[in-house]
Amino acid sequence: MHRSRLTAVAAVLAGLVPLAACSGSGGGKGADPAGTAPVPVTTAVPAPTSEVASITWNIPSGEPPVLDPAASSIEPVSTVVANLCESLFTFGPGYERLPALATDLAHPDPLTYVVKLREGVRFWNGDPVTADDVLYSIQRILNPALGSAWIGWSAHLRDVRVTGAHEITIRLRKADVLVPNFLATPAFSVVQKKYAERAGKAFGTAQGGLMCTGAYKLGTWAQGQRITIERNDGWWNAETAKPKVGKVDFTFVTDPAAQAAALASGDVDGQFTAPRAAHAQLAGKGNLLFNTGLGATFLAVLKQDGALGDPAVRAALQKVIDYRGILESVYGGTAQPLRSLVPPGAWGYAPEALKAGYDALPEPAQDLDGAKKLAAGSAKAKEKIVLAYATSSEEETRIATAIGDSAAQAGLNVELRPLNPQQYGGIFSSAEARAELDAFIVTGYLDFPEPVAYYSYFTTGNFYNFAGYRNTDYDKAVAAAQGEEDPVKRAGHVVKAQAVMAADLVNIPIATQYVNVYYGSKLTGLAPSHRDVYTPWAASLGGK
Amino acid sequence: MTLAVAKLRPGRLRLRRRHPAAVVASAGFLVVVALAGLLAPLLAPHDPDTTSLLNSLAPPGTEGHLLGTDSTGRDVLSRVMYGARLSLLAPLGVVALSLVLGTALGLLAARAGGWADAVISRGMDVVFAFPGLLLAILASAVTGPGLTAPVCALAVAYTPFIGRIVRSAAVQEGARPYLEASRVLGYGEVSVTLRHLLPNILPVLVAQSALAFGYALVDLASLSYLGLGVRPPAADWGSMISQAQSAILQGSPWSGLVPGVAVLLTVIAVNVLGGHLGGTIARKQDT
Repeated sequence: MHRSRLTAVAAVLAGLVPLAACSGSGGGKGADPAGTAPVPVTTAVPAPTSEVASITWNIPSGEPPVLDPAASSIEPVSTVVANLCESLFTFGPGYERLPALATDLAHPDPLTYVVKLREGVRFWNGDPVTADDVLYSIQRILNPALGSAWIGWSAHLRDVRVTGAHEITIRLRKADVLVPNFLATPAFSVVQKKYAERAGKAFGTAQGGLMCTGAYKLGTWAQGQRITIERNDGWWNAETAKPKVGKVDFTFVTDPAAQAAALASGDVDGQFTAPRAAHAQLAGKGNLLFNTGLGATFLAVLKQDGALGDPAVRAALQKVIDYRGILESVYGGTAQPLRSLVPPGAWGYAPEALKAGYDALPEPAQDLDGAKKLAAGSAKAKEKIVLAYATSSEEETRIATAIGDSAAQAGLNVELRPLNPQQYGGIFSSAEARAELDAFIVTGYLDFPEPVAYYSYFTTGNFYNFAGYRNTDYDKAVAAAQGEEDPVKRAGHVVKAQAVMAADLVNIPIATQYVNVYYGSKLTGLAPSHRDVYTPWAASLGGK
Repeated sequence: MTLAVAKLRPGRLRLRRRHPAAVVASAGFLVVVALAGLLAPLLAPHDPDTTSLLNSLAPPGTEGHLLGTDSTGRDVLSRVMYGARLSLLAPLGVVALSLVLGTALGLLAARAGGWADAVISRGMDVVFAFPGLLLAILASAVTGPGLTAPVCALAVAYTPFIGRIVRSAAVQEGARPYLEASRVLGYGEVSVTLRHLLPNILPVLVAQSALAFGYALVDLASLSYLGLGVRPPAADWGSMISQAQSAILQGSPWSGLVPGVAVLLTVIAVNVLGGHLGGTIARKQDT
């Protein structure tokens, strides 16, 4: 046997005390790092004034498996790719559509979009960007064999054609207001046809490389260690928005304690989604900035043939949630209450109409007595409800634990099912992985502030409608909204769909979290926003 | 010379008395921990699973929470008391299983000799070379969180630890005249082994079992720390330490320190007891 193990245990325990002493100040409720009051949001910061040769940026969710924009729908990929590859348009600070590789978008009729391409743009290797490259890039995403999540934009697509030397035309079979938004996402990222065809399946990998047009170009990728991107001095926008950071080294530290130590010591200059437990520590070291976002944390029903098939049980489950405790203790003031699946931050149009609809929904509040009554009146309440959550999320682990306890008090039979990242990811891709689960806690975000984008996921037959939710009124309202170009009328349809979903409780909203970014005190220029996943955020950073 | 030796004896006796003091303290601590786990439903001030998010990370000494609360507001003292049940029972299961398997294999190898001894001994060498914790992690990966599979896997991993010692002791004992005398009296091989040999190596087994218990406790706590042990919300000390990681970053170490100290002291206590038993047996054999 190994006696050294005992020494190791003693060493770990002995290490706890100084570690605690080195961490946040004090403890207890009063020492909650972010306090219980909502933290201030930051929508703008001073622009950088000086150049910085290089920075080190950590990706808390780990090393990206690939840097192909077709795979840029998960955070580790998009954090890097957003600086490398460009779409036809980009999002401005208020999610307004701004020109990028395209200069103009014409919409002559509800089914046609004509895109004017920017002239004189070159790939990193100096080759000019042609309409053929753009067409190839769009069609590449549409190839089901590639398996890109961005294929979803094409639900109503008739065809895409080159209609001029610097023009492409997109024709739809049915009006779809989501399409113009997708033009600023990786669904329309442009890669070089010649390079991509030569690389084949290796495109975007460490071996195959990448060829785009962005503010930065791919430098080196030492797998398992770091990815380096370097400023692209030939960027078409370099004259007006030349990046002030010359080089970005990406690291992949996933352990929150190690992240906190690296950020606090300055070994790493910054990262998105700073570990919540280290907020107090980091706030005193550099820029820890928060902003409202497009995200929602909710409890999603996965199965309607079990206990959660009874609306009364779903209603009881909603009432056991300790919303106040979650906002104040779990999120420490860095989240807001949520009444619908789409948070107020995603009201990209007709805000008055959308707010009226949102305010009409009941305010979520814990009501254990109400839950007990509902459970007592349901024959299905005693059936087991398997609630899954990701153990990689400290917040969701705490939320699940609290729900499990409150549900037991209310007479519901909730079994917690902690899942590692691989198992959790399987929920989205495998019916087998979902088979044993009744519900799961999920945090998702919209790619752009368009509520229809999220509500369309829960229409009958949609891939992401795991629970098999089916409501004709809901489907009609979402379809009407998706085809309605008038913002106020569209908002009316959205409000109707939202009310139907809220009543049916197939998704139980919990909270909308702020987005956050941390970077060292010598840097400036980057305000946190969900658009950072698809815009060249590193080009905003620089020295004070 | 005689007088000088006589003068030394009281000193040696005093020295011997110090060991029982540590042993008594260790035994006392283990009794307290075992009783705390056994009587948790009567003694624990709170339900160990009752959460109160708005009262999370309350420091020790908070009214109603002597040792504070964890990150979901659960009472740390109550969870440590309830956690003692699984934290002690599971290693006990490992020791019991490995004791049965190891003793059977060790005795068989020692008494059969020849090819059976060679096969069993080499087999135990192979299992001994495989890290027990890794075996338990593999078992958990196959069956999912829960203690049954890790307990069985660790029992298999610990079997050679017991088996080799049993074999060695049995071979030594086998050369003693009393076994031959038993045979002459007409007792069969199985009877001689179980009725005469086994009782004589029992003290060795007890000492090794105590040591194995400490290692099993650490291994199982490590598994729970990795999220492969008990299913939430059940409490055991390893999972409590794991769940306290972010609290430590927030400057609230107690919800991790308390179960951590419980693991540490329990392991020290069982090792002190095991060491004492081993020493006592060795001295007896010397005399």
